[in-house]
Amino acid sequence: MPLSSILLSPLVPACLPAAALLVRRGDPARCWSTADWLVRGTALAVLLQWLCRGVSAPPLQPLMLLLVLFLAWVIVRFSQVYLQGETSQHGYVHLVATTASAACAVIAAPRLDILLGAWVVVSLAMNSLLQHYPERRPAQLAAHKKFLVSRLGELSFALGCLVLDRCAGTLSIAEINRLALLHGMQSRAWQAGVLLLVIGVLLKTAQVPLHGWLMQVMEAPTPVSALLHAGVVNLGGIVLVRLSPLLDASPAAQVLLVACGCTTMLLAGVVSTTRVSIKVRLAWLTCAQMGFLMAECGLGLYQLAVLHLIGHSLYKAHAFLTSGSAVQVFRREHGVLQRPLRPVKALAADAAAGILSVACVYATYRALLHGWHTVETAAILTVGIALAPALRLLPSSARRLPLALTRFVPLLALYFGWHFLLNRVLHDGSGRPAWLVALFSVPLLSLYVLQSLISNRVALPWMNTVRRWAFHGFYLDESVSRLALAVWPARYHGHDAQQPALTAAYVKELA
Amino acid sequence: MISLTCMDVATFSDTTEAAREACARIAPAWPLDRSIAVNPYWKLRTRSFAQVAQEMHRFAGSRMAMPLSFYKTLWASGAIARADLQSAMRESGNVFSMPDLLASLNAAETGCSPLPLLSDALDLGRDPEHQVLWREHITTQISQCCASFFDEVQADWRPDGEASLYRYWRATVSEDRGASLLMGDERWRRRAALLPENPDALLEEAVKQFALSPDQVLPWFVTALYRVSGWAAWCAYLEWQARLAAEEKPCFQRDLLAIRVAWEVLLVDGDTSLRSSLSTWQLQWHSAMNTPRSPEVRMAEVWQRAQELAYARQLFEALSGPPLPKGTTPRLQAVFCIDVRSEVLRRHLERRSPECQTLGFAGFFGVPMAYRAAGAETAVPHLPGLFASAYTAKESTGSELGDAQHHASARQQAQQTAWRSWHMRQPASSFNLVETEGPLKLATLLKCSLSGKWMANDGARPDASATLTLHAPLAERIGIAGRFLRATGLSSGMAPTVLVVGHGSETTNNPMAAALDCGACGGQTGLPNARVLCALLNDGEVREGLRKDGINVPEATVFVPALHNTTVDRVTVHPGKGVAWNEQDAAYCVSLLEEACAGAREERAARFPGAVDRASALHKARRRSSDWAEVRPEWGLADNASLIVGRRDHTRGLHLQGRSFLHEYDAALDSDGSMLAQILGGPMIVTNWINMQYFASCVDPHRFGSGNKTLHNVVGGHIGVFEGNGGDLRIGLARQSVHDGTAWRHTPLRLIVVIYAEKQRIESALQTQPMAMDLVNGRWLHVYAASNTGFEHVYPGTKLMAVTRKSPSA
Repeated sequence: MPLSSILLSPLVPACLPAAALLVRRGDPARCWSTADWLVRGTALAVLLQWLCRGVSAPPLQPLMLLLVLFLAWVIVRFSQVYLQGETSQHGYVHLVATTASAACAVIAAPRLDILLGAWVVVSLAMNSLLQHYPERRPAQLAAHKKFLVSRLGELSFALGCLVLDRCAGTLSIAEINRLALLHGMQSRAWQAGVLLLVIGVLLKTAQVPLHGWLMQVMEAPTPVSALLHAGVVNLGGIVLVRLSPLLDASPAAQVLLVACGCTTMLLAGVVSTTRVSIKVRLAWLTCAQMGFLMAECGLGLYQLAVLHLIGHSLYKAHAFLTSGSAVQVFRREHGVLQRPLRPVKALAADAAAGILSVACVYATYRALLHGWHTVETAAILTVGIALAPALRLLPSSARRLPLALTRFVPLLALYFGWHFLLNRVLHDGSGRPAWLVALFSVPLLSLYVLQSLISNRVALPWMNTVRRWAFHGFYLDESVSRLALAVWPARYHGHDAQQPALTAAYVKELA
Repeated sequence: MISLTCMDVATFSDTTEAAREACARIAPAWPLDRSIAVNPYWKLRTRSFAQVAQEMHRFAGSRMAMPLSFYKTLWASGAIARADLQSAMRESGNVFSMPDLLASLNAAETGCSPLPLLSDALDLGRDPEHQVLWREHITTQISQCCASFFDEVQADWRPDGEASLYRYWRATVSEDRGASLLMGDERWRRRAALLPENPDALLEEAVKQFALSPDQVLPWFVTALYRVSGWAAWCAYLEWQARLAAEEKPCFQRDLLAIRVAWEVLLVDGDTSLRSSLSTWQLQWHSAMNTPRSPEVRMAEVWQRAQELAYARQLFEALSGPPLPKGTTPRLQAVFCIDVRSEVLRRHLERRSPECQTLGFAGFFGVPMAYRAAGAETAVPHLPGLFASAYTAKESTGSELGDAQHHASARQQAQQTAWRSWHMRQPASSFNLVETEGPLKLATLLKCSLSGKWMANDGARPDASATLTLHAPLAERIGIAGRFLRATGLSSGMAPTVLVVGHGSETTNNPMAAALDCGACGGQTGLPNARVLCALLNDGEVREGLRKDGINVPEATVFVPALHNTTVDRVTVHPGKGVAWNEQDAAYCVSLLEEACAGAREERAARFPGAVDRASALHKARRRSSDWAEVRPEWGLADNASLIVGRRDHTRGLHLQGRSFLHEYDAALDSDGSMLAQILGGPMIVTNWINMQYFASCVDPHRFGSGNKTLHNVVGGHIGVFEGNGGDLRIGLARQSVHDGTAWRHTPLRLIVVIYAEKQRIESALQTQPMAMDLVNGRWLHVYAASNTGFEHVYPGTKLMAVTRKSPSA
């Protein structure tokens, strides 16, 4: 095999970070710096590979690889200081390096079976990281739940691979995508195969009701949460974007993705407003964001999905790693925002802001972009609703218009800036029915109404009940937890130090 | 042999009274943004240390000494001498012999467990591998319920104003379908709807249902309340604040107790047979009540005392060394906080210049104020938690218009950032904002990862154009200034420059930051207090008033506020505008401080791993203070061990290793003993709180320590932290604050208080300070009267620790 093909093979990013495994003993600092340099080296290798292949090649893959490697690098640098003095630092570094390697393999894998294998490795490494403190029972329970759900997802994905192999005669992703583009997927087997793949992805992307583990991983050090929420849980989105021609040809998969995504978006979005601790709130927001990502993929908004992947990864990594600043933020911001309490006026202002904002975004879209797809309505709605609070003005406060514009315009400009950049990277799918877009708008609009009601302190009779349900996560996770424990016991190491001693003496007395 | 089974527990026939008694045991825990050290045993101070150790063991399963392996290391290294152990043995009444104690070092550790509750008995029947345990579930449920009840900032969607915690919980639990799903039990939810609406009625009913004899009620309540002691401490804080503000006292603790007890009631399944869970529990309860503490636990307490005696011995030796002679007329006097971190810097200052004198005083400098920063909505108390603030200090530019502008611009800036984070949080907005703004975080992540720097700690740098004015009547301002000068002995012989040095830490991304700030200033930096005091003392009107009171402040004397940044060990002076500070004096002062800080920094850097020289010490300290991933930015007050009350002449130049609080006191100027009484009732209690917080965070880390910092999860914006997903609210210091990963960095000791005054005077001063008296009588600290002949223990049953003085110099 010529040297160049080895250097260009996706194996390089997929194996290089794992070389940190070679440092097994001695000063942890050496292990940390090895991992640091290996991750940097891998990023360099990815860049070089990209250059060698020619810049004209689709930049999606190198972009995603660089994203994952960047996150891994941030996590390694952070953890090196953060975990000083902790035991088992070597093991931690090894697992982070393994996760990075395997995540690169998921992104770069040329074949579905390799992709699945790499994804399993990511999941297993993550599972061990979640149990960094093995004596913590909640950590074990969360890891255990994640273990079961992930295996279920992988099973579905594997079945999908088998079916597609039968239909297409190959597991090469490029080949399957080409076939799907050429012929569409007429047979039921094709459709079933894609559906199985999508179910697998959904299971591994923490969609309700199997989302519980994602919220309960605060039992591992902060950087592990950051890695999981920023770099691992959204691998499903990357896989879907890689398989976009398959999705475009499978209406059933689209509907499934949008339906699941919308439910998760709505429920997790509502729950996140009731959380009482910073990290758990961030986790529920991740869950909602993953729902959004799935829905975007289902709608064929692949550009937005990629933008979302990048933005969310960086944002969430940042949010978790700086979650210790919550008190500083509290000191700075507490009591600063006092909102008017005239409900009717305020609600009307919110409604007007929503309409105005959507109209502005629509106008900008029409002015800047040619061609028109139904799905772009979904994008317009998302942006319009998101930026609406900036335009919220009461008739009496028209003098604040400049302030409103300084809040609105830069965000809009930024959004379109990203949009134009990504336009060169990949194309959106098409051919989604209008009702799918309508379905997608339901959670968005509901959340907008709800956030308006909450922030204006409107108290309607039904709201307290919904709040209570939301506070309990809509009771979705409890049955799953119980089932997970009952079906397959978690292995518990060590014991709780505060456990009241129900010693042999008592037991004897009972007998 | 002492009987260990008999508990000195009063018998309560009245359930309400028992509930009150149980709640009265819990010390408050301040929120994170105002976090001050609290003695978690404060409410138990009227009992003796030994008795509380027994009770904590019984009710909470907690220890009040380290595991024996800790003392084994100390014994092996010779840190505890045979004589120390013998003295400790004698003090404990010779219950254990020397061979017993030595043998115990190799004994296996025995676990501690609290008295069992019904939920524990039920857990015995549950399979922990297949089922969630009741005690886990109950703690989680109560904790989440309390968090949502008390939270005011984290959740955007909060419950509507229900005033009673108990009623809120009752409404929550009876509708909680999730818990029945999780626990696989439906029956208790139906019973929840039948619980009494009144918490007192519930407690009454519970006692009846569990058929508790009157003497069992209090232990049962206390045990139940300790299961949620974190939230109990938060409730106690709210009640404490209400008391300081003279408002009607809420009954949050009673409600919390009722909630925990209600869970026990819910779990009674109505089965009355012999094999029912209730009778199982009754057996367990009585058996546990009659089980004495294991000898290992009690021996660990003897070892703990031996360790304290060993430190006392070393301290007395150090104090008997010849102090540096007092310099001639001072050019600079610097008043520091009594904080142990000041000791190091003061020593370095005095060593470098004989023209510099240093003094120690409680870091709020006697100004009972709340501070309102420019643009801030509320004033933050800057004084010890024991007291309520009397006055507000506000930043002022001198003109009303200027103030209004200043305030408005600061407020607008704050509003803009607050709006952005509010916008980001909104569920419908977050989807797109993450896409739009997320990629920009690349730059921040890159910067933080390369340099480690995150945002700077705000509030440390005052606006040079503003002065801080105290809104208090003139007589009171004169009073504050006069009391300060008399208590520090500065009423005569003032130097041309008097520095008033407050202290604060500089850390980032650290929810526990306030714990490193000045405890005497309510967990804030001491600079505003220093600025207020200096502004008072530089004020002509106040000086005139002082002259009438007999204190003559020389015309040339300038009071200059300064801030000691304890993380980096750097002192910045903030003379403020319009202060005529002689340039030469200023230059002398600044260069001296620079040198002394470098020395102090180098000394303190040695407590971190890795070799350091002077240059790298600064670099490393700066990195620690600004690194977003740093969990040990500084060691804070770790290893604090003693309070020395006396003139600096006694301790000048002595190496006290940054373990001593130093307070100025001159018995010759205190004819009626009132100053000493104030010190005993103020600074001594504050130092006891600090000392006991560190003590408890080491010996009882699960209850009074907040666990692993890498798992901390801030609750309600500032209320406290969870360790991980949930569980009880965690209070106290994190493990990282007292342990470096391989060894303890704090040695848990009860405070040794050395007072340079006659024993009789100390005893009579104690008579006027009941709280201080409790601490001494209960042996929560050990007071020694220092004289030329040695150090005399102030305690009923005194003995003399004779240490011959080595040639005290003039």
